[in-house]
Amino acid sequence: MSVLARIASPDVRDWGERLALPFAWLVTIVVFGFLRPDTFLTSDNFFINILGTQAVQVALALALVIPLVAGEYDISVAANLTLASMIVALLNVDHGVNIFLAILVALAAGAVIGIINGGLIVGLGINSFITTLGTSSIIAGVVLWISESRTVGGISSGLVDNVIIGKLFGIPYSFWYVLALSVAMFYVLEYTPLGRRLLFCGRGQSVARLSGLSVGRLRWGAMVASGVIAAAAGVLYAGTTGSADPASGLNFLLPAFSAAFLGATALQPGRFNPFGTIVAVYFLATGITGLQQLGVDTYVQQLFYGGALVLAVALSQLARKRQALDFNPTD
Amino acid sequence: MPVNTGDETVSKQENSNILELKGASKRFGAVQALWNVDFAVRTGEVMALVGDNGAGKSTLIKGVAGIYSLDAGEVFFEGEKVSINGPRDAAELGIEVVYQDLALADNLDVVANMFLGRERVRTPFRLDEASMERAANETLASLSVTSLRSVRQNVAGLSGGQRQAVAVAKAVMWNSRVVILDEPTAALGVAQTRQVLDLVRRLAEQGLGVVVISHNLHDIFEVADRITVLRLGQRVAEYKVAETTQQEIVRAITAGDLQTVPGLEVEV
Ligand SMILES: Nc1ncnc2c1ncn2[C@@H]1O[C@H](COP(=O)(O)OP(=O)(O)O)[C@@H](O)[C@H]1O
Ligand SMILES: [Mg+2]
Repeated sequence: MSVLARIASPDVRDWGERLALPFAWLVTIVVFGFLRPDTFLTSDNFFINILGTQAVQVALALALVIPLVAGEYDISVAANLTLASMIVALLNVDHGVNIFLAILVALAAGAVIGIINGGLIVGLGINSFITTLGTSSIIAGVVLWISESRTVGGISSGLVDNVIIGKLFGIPYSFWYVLALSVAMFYVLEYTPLGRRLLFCGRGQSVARLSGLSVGRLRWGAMVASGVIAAAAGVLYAGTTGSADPASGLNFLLPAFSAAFLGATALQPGRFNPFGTIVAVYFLATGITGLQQLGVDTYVQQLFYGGALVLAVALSQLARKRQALDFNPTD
Repeated sequence: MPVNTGDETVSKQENSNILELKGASKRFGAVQALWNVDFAVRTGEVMALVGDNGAGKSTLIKGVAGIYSLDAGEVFFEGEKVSINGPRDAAELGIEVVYQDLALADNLDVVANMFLGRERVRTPFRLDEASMERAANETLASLSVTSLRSVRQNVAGLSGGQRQAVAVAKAVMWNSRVVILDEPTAALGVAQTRQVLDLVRRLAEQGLGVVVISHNLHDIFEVADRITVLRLGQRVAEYKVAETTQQEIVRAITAGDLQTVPGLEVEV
């Protein structure tokens, strides 16, 4: 089956619902392009600023999707991102470590965080929201400690060139990385036994357990995956800004949740899905950038992201009646 | 792996126990959910398991399926002692359970549910959807389940009877030898109950050992060959349906003789 045929699985008739969000994104682009023709649709703004820079936000939202599919929260992704970017900066800048090696260490740290999160959630049976809220704070503390609360600049141009400077079809590499990641995630979730089982974990955990699935291993694995992807988002962040600071990464958390939940209302409604998530990130970013160019105050950003989260959860609650997002993290 | 016995072997084994449990005990904290229970089902028969709420019926089958580890007791499959340490072990032997309320995940389609944990693949990284869909359709057809609009619809959209039929189909598509159904008709109307009972009967006719848990004695007398009665975690009686009455069963359920006085059980 082709990807399109798959997205259009026979059970769903409501194309309007599936395409509402992509359409809304399109409308936003057209409206702001019309209102601010000189600034909004320039390649600097749209391709680099929105598609390129927001790739970090996309990666972080994608990191959330996997545990969400499996029925778990991971609040620690943003702290994890911050840690990864700081590891890259400290190793590369302060200790002169090869950038490639620094990236590997950062990803490994993300994996370790995932292993610890998963161990606490599955091994000790602690609720994932609480667990990752706790580890998130611990990680943020560690970042302040190892960075001595500094901003570390001057990361190897090798990374920056390959993230935000280098372009394919005029769009920075970072965009293509997260696009590739989302294709890979889509494939695993839709076409492999692993993806099918993760879905059962989130939607029928007791059924899955009674059928002999290793539910604990799956949930644990989901936490590790989100740890690694969040760390990769941190690497992208370091590559986008050429530096790392101990705080700003935490601002990615709420938009990531907004995008993941909003994305679950699109393309494959009722299901946390990577493509819907991407569209959601870019829809939100486009809206905010456009509003800022109209001269609206920066506080709209928070209104926008917060409002989107509440709206998305409300929408999926409505969708649940027919399609049921069935997100039941307490199970 | 379950051996696919020829007809001849099946008829030879007609009266032997395919699945047997001896001295099964299980305790949850202060509750002795099972105490020294013997239980057996033969090929080609429907064995009913009855008892009041809390009598230990679900615990017994979860013990057989490896969901709970029994504190004591032995399980024999085709006369041989086996150890079942999880649903996978049970499935390997050909024992399938249709759990009360928890047989299927609502928000996934019929095919995904039927193949949960045993997906067919073309390569390790590629589900074989077409083959699974075909097999799901064939199994449903072989059970004369024809009322489904599509095996690609979500389970949430099925009627109670259709759900139960899908759950049974899920259980029998693996060369199963024993199928255990926990309260399969509890939530069903008259017509749907009828269909499920027919289905249960058909499984036994196909040579499977079938265990049915039910509250409804009328249903049981219609479908079962024998009845095992549990009371307060103990097996108090076993009857042939042909040689007993509903009154006798009710008496056994409410007042059958216990081996020990509840509360004074020997510690296991
Ligand atoms: N997982 C469990 N933890 C604690 N007690 C349990 C558990 N499962 C069953 N019990 C108890 O064991 C007894 C038998 O329960 P069950 O086997 O479900 O009965 P039935 O299916 O016959 O209604 C009940 O008293 C029940 O409360
Ligand atoms: Mg029960």
